[in-house]
Amino acid sequence: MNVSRREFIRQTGAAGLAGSVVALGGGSAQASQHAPVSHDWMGVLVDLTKCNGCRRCEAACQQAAGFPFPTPQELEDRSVFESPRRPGPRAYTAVNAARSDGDVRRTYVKLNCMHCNDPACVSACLVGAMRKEANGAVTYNAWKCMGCRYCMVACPFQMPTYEYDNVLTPQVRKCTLCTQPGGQTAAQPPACVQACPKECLLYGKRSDLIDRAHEKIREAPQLYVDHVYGEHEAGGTSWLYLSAVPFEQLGFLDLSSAAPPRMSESIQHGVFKYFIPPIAWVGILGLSMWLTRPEQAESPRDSNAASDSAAPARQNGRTSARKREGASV
Amino acid sequence: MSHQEMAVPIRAKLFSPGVRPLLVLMAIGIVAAAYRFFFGLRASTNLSQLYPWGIWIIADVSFIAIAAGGFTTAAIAHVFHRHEFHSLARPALITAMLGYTFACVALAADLGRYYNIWHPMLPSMWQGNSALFEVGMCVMCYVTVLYIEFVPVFCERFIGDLRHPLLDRVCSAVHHSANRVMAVFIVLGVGISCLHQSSLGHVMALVPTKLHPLWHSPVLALLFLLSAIAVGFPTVIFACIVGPRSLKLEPDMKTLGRLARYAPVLLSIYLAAKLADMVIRGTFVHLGHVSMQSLFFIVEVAGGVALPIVLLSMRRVRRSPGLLALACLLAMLGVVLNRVNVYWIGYSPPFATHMYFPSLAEWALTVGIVAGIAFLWRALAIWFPVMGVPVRTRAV
Repeated sequence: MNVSRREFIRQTGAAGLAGSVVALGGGSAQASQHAPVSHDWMGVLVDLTKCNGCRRCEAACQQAAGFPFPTPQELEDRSVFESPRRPGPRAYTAVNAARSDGDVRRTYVKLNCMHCNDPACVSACLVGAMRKEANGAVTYNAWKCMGCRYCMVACPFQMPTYEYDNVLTPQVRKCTLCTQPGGQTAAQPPACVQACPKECLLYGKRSDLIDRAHEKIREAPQLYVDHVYGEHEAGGTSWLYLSAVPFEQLGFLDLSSAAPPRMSESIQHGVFKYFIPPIAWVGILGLSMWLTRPEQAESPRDSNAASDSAAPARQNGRTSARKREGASV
Repeated sequence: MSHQEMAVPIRAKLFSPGVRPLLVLMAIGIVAAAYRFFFGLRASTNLSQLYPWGIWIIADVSFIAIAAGGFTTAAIAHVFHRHEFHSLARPALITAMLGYTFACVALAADLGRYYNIWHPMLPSMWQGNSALFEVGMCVMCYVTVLYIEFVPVFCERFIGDLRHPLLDRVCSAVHHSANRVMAVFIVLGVGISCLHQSSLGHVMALVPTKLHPLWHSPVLALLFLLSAIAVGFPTVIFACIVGPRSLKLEPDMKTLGRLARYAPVLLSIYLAAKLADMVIRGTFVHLGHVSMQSLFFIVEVAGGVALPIVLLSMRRVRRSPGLLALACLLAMLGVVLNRVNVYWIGYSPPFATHMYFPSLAEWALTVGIVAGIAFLWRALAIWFPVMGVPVRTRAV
């Protein structure tokens, strides 16, 4: 490259400015060491010892979401428990029968989005289609979504599902905690909680539910294992579980208390801190380009001989054009 | 400059018998793409709720890694002013341009709502915590930079075109002003490349529970950057041997051999970082268990990194076009295998009963895109002044 000193400084300045624009996104949100936990977050405490697998929560959920819902006859059909099911794009929740070792009684486990305190899907989504609402629910905005499915890759619980069948407007589907648009706390508990006849689902403020869960364990230590699943897992979740058998025997994932976004976001924000590192990097490159510039670049005679082959280009282009003409004749 | 080289359009037939297989593969790829866009992802892919990312995403990250040759060559030729490599800057540029362009094509096929692909441009949707956002922004900027860098090449094709005097004048003017600001874009291109090459690795840093510990690391971003830098020169060398060969030209072995001397150094830095990461995190214990993951890791590191280092260190290999191309291809495949491992082999979602394997349409589109890159590389070298042809061998 051969540009005059003055011009070079001007250009490098422009490069730094443009670099900062690029870096802007990377550093726009500041990293925090811990995700802020709000007392307004709602949650559901699931007492697995009470569930008898009636699947009315499933039926209510299907109805609330506008999906086809099972008839009473279908609800009676116990054969669905023969193989484990996962929530899908046409079912936000699924109740499975988990047979635990050394226990003749079946334990039923309701699966759905856990609504993490520090959701990996929210951290992952590059256009902010996933959102942690004021009521603690993690919601999805199809209008923003590009359909990259990074949220599905990111989720440690493997809960977001995709409408692969939909050719034009596929959406990510998962439990919304029956949240109305805008993240307002619904006046009523979610449909599944309302439908539960065994009072196995308890809706309330997450902080209150944790207290209640530990209270229950204290009241009946012979009934429960001393573990509230979701209190710490993956940084804590809005859905909390109490169980009579160890959770790993029921297919619950053994997750550390560290929320995945904490590590990745702190690295990313370190690299992009106040956009200084990227700008400095571009600056160093520009500076070394300038400092190591060839001597002849200073002489005005050569100043038009820009990058590799610009100088002979005019003449060269002409000859090649002629050649092509010659070839075409 | 020690030896005068000019970039000229190469006089060769575009549709030579050798490109026919490429055209067939491209046609099959287009059919696969049409199938995907008309019948959706369920019909065309084997993607599932557990494996949301497949071979198209791997193609994206691989093309972008392979296309790193564009920025590494720009850095050595323009930022560090090693003039002997100027003749490689343009072949490297079109390699990068095609790599990035087709990474976007593969991405568009993979996105469920591809018509929203421009959303990261809207400040109201910016989500700075996402590694993918950083990738998206940088890729958009870098593709733009690459096309701006291509402007002088495009203009030179028409400068002096006596049949179109107006085109000649417009191109001359654009060429002149483009060259005046090119330094900005070259520096910017190198800077942006370093950012998103690393972020592509950081994408998978978010899934500590799903990615196998042999690959998951807090410094995944650094490893992706180092591997991209290491694979840059081998890619350019490979393209500058195979490309001219297909155009019936002699590859410039003197320059390529000289550039090849950097490759083992850069690959060794990558290898050292990878091994250090493994030792520090103690993940070598996983190599003791015979599994698909440990096998793929060993093949990746031994065959795709260590072996190319040995080969490229040998003068005999660097002097022979065939051996050099082979060694460089090995290094490229090593980095592609790394991306395959991080995004597929090492990715094990909970509750998975079987592993993802790409469908016919997924393979067809991927292979079709690779064929398209090869074909368009040749076409650009024929249409535009890309190849630096040494004066002494220019008699065609």
